[in-house]
Amino acid sequence: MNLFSETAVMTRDEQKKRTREKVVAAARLLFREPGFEKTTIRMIADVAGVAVGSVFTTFETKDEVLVAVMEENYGEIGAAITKGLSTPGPIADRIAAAFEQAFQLDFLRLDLVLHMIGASLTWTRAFELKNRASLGQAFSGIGAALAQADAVGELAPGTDRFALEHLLLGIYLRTFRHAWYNGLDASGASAFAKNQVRMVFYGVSALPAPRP
Amino acid sequence: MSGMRETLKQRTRERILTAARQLFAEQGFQKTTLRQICEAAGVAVGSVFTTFESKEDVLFEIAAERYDGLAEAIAKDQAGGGSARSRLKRGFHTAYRYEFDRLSLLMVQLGASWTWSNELETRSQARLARPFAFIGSLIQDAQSAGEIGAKVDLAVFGDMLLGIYMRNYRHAWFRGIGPEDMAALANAQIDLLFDGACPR
Repeated sequence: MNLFSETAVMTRDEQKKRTREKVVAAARLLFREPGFEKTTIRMIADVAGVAVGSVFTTFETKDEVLVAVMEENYGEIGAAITKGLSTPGPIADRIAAAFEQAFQLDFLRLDLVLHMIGASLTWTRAFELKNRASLGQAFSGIGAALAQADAVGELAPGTDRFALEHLLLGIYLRTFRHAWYNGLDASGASAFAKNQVRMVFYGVSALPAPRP
Repeated sequence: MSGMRETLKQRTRERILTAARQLFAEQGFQKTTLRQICEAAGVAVGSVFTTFESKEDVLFEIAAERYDGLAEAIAKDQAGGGSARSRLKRGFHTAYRYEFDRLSLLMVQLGASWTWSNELETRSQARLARPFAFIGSLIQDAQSAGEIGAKVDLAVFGDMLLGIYMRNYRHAWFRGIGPEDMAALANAQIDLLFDGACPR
């Protein structure tokens, strides 16, 4: 009897997991065509071949489905950031290179990135914490690189690393918005962000001339 | 005759904004529909669309109405003078205190601003320019005076400052901090921008 009920539970979990995978795969397709705005939960359920109700057992809103679709890229983005950070040079250039690598991937789905950032301003605190945990993983390289730069004297003594990290993340996120409304591509966005990253590291009081 | 039509349109607009202000405050933005707004305002559902393109647009207009007061409050604190750095800090602090009581609506507005139309974005930037015009003239003067390096791209720098200002609302929302702590965060970021994180 015990064995039987355990199997039943596992099957239910397994089933739930499979439903989730189907829903996310269907959403990924639909968000591409006809696009995020025009996709409804009903359409996602139809393409996934599941009941509308079972979408809602896993995801409360379409925004949550969007995050699940985007989350699948976090690993790749984390790797891109690590790659950028490993280029030789001063910390400012390495951070800029990390953003450039990440933009290459993000710009493939710029519209979805914008929807997600927009949604992130109004979703619940619990959801914010959950997303911050998984996205934080992808961006953990930035914090580690700053700590290391601090340790080897690449940062001014007493630099507020918390403020620095948030300032840099702010640049990264705000660049999407700038790119969207000004029609920049990934390399245009990278140049825009790099200019700002240099300001943060060298200070506007005495910014050195850009390197060739 | 067209003057009268304008007056009527203006009156409809006022009624819609008044109704929306109340409904957003009472039941929140998400739960409020345009239909409810029209019913409360006593206007036909169709007539809302002659003035506003969407519910986000209505929200934006409610927010924008406050910008004159915000501009005034900032102008008052700027009269104290000082370095560009200290005046920026004061300006942000004043703005945080002024805006804080409508934090939840502000978050909705900021969220919508990531995906709204180009037209609404352009209008939003124009309206926001008024209270934050002080940033542009402040950093320009500071560059002439040598407080900001000659090579700094002021358009980009001004945009970064606005970015710092906006982003701290997110911290306030998710971490439950008030305007004083928001100002402290902004201060640390403004200092970093002026001094740079690298040793001199």
